Amino acid sequence: MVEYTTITKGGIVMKRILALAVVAVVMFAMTVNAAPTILSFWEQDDPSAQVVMDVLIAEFEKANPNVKVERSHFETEDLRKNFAAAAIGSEGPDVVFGPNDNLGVFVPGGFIYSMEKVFGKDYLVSKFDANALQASMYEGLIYLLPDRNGNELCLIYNKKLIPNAPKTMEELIATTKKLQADKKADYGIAFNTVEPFFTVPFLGAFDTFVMDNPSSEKNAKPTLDSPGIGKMFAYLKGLMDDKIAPRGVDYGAAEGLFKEGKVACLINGPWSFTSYVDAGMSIGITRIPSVAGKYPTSWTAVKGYCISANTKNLELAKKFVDFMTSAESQIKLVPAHNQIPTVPAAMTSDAVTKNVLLSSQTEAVKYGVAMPIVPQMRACWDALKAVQADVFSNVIKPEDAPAKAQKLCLDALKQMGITVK
Amino acid sequence: MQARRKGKSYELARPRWYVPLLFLLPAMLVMVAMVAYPLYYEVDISFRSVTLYNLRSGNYPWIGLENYKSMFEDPQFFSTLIRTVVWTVVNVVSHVSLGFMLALILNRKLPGKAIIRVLLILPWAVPQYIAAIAMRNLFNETYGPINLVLKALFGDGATVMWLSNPANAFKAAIITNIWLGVPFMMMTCLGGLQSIPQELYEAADIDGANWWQKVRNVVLPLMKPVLTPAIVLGTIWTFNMVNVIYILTYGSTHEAAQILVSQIYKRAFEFFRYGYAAAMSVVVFILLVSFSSVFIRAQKLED
Repeated sequence: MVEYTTITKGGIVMKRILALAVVAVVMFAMTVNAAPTILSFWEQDDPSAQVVMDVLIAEFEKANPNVKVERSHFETEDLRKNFAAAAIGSEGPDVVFGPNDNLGVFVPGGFIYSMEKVFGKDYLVSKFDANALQASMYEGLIYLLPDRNGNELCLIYNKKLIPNAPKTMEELIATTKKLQADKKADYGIAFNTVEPFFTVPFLGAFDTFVMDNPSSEKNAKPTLDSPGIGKMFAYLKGLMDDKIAPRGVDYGAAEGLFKEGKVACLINGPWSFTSYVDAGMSIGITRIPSVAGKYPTSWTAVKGYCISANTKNLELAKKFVDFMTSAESQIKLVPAHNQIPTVPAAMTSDAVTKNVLLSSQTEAVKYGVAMPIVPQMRACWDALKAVQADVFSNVIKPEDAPAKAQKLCLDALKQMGITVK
Repeated sequence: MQARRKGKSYELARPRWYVPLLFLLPAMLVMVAMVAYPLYYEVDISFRSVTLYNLRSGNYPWIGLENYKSMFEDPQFFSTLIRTVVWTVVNVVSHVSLGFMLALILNRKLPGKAIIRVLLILPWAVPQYIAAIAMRNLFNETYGPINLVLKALFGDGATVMWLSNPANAFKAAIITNIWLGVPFMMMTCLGGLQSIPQELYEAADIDGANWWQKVRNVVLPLMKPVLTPAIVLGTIWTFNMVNVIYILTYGSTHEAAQILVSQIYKRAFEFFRYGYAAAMSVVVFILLVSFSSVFIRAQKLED
């Protein structure tokens, strides 16, 4: 009896252990099976667009059960640096969203797939606008799926201070002096005086550009030593000396002055328009006014999606970027960024044609020039930034700026290991 | 039984050569992973060509001393090194002298001492990144409070182009870093001061020592064990302080307002010259190790 009981108890224990083991194995298998595929997505976009992106991601996840898209936001420079650093260790995101000048780092570094290899050229040509695709190329191959075209700088004016769009800088200067005499505004125009991105459009008014062969990595040659560079800096410094524009203001300070009504006009891009409308301002948008009869030329760029060369989910990444750049997705994103979409069906939609903030940029985009995306541009930005600060703070004379800018640029290229022919 | 027990305890008590190593093993593994390997890797790539073009491939050709050669041939390296020394000396001297002075004041009976101490610690409590951005706004040329005060006191001509002029930007960065660094030194000194026995002050009083004599002959010698590591650490931290300079000068706009680490950061993460940046880092490492060992040895010799 005792023996029987013992055997029975032992059997029960064994059965329990076996049952538990079976349950554990089944649960493990279910867990493994249920674990979603993670698609890591890094983006550099504005807060308003990020909100819409989340909505689109939720739609994508609903249509693709067992897929989880993890979105992480980075500022432009951080995105570039972190993606490069992650690529060394064969890590990082599956998909990256940002401006096309990222290609100047990502393509030479071999960090991303060519979209032509992923989708086939015919598909891309049939889906996207030709101009947008052109801006998504690097050395003749398409590396980015464009989402929006523009990124150009415009003149935004406060209609309470200036009811009609100024056509010329001379007109704007005269209006500024009147506003100052009436104590209605401190300055006429503000722009970020730290970053040369906000001053390079004025190069167009002085018939100057920053490099020759800007679309060829092998042949691009910086030309910062042209006299036009000095003339442009002299003109902008004159605006500050005459108190038409405030000196020493960064992006936030310039925008703050405009929102406070201390400055009548601001040079900024379409990503910022909604914030002024939301702040209750009555604004107008126009092309940057002409200087002595010649118009500044805004630099245009596209923003879009790249697929990491390290991705282990290529098919899923492909599906995701295709979805994010569909006409339906682009139409949803337009009100958030106020830039021209890149798929014809979206470009002709009501979201675009009836968007006043967008239509007022037409001229600036039409007469804009494509921003160079070759690695040499990094050295140009670096040199222009330093020289611009020197001129604006009276450390050097504007006429000495071209030579110094060219020297700094060549030094930086040497540091980058790039030889200029 | 008794004998067996004795034998067992003898076995347990017998020292085994590997036991201390086993105790040290976890710490050693962490040190190898966190310190030794990164250091080895850095030294290794400082002898290789690592640029944007071969970054992902992992094939970094051996170029010997080429990175070091181009670094020492660059006149900018030496001007930046001198600026870094100025930056470090001015900051550390200010941190120690101001921190020590404030600690002496706080070590006395003072009305509202708790509130004053909290206010003085405040810069330390603010994240460096936020503090640097706030200081950048204070130094703004047109609307910054510092220039507005200067303008109100001395007229239009008294305003300073703090951030666009490289020399002024460097001064603004020094002011910011002094403001940020004083609380740490003050708290360290205060801790040291509070550990000095009251009897020593009383003995000095009996000997007729004045305030300065007490500071010089009682306080300073007893503060040395506290101040030596604080100065060594302060020097290393200040030498390697990239945040303040980088933020205040809008991403190191001017080479003339940079220190070695901000230059290394730029070479590595903006120009993608990892090999060259590693060579610069090795030089910084050697400089700091040399300083620390010489300084600590000098202090020991003095004792």
